Amino acid sequence: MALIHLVPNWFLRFDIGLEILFAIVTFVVAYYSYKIYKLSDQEESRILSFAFLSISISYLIKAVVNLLIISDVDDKISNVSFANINTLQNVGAFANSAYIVLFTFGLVLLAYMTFKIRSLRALSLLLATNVFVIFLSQNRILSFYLLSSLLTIYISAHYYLEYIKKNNYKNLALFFAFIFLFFSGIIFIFSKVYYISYVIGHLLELGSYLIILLILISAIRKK
Amino acid sequence: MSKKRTRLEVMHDILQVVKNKNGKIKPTHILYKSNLSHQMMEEYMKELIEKKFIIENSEKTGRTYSITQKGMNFLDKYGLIKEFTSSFGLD
Repeated sequence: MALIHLVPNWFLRFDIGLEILFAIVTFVVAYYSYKIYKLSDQEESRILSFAFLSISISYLIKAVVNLLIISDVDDKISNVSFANINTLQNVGAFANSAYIVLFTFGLVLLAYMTFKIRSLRALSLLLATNVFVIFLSQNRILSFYLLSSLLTIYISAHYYLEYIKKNNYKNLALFFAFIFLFFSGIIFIFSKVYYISYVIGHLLELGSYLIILLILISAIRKK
Repeated sequence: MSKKRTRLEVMHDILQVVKNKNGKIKPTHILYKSNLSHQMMEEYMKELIEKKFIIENSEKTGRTYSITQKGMNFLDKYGLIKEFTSSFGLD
């Protein structure tokens, strides 16, 4: 299985930089959530921490593999052999599977966090259903992006309802952050056909993680 | 009309009451100060003990509660905890 995107040449290394940035932002959120969990023993903070840690690792894997593939292609562009292509495909396939599982796990945890019930059985069922649907599907990439979009729209709805209930503008900002992630997932589906989809998808992700970062900074500034 | 308190706010209020009494307080006093029903107060006290924010002491005159270092840390960082949890919709 491979995540195939058409990428404009000028965006080739820029995308890796963005993925590393997403990994850092999500890691910082995970770190502070865990810190809040240690202070308050609040289960939701722990779930948020693991969710963002999982998403952070998924982006890191994606960035490292993209970097390896690009440098490998650069090195061997004049001497492409079937062995090289096979190695690249194997590494890429494994890394993409890891990315899909970790990113899905992160979103499943975020969706689970919004529930009022706490049950390991419910969480494992949710995760298993998502992973099986993706990996047993004829078109895994399409299933992955569609399921991610479904989960992000569910998480967005949670933040919108929180905003309605508490009138906290930060919840509204997080609603938009997850709406951006939702649209990025939808747009990535078309990156097999259109170059620009890959760029727009990344820019929407950038918008989303910048909002999340700003919310985090404003929260931790108040001691 | 006053707003319904979140779980974190109630925990904070109870811990503040315990702290204000020099870290040793009787259940009746907590009940009076925390503005909770007896059943709700018992639930919260159980949770606070489980989370090691307070400890229960059995004395001749009855039960008393005292705040732990973890409980003090919670009170110290409550502003940060509250801001973070409300921002990320965790409360």
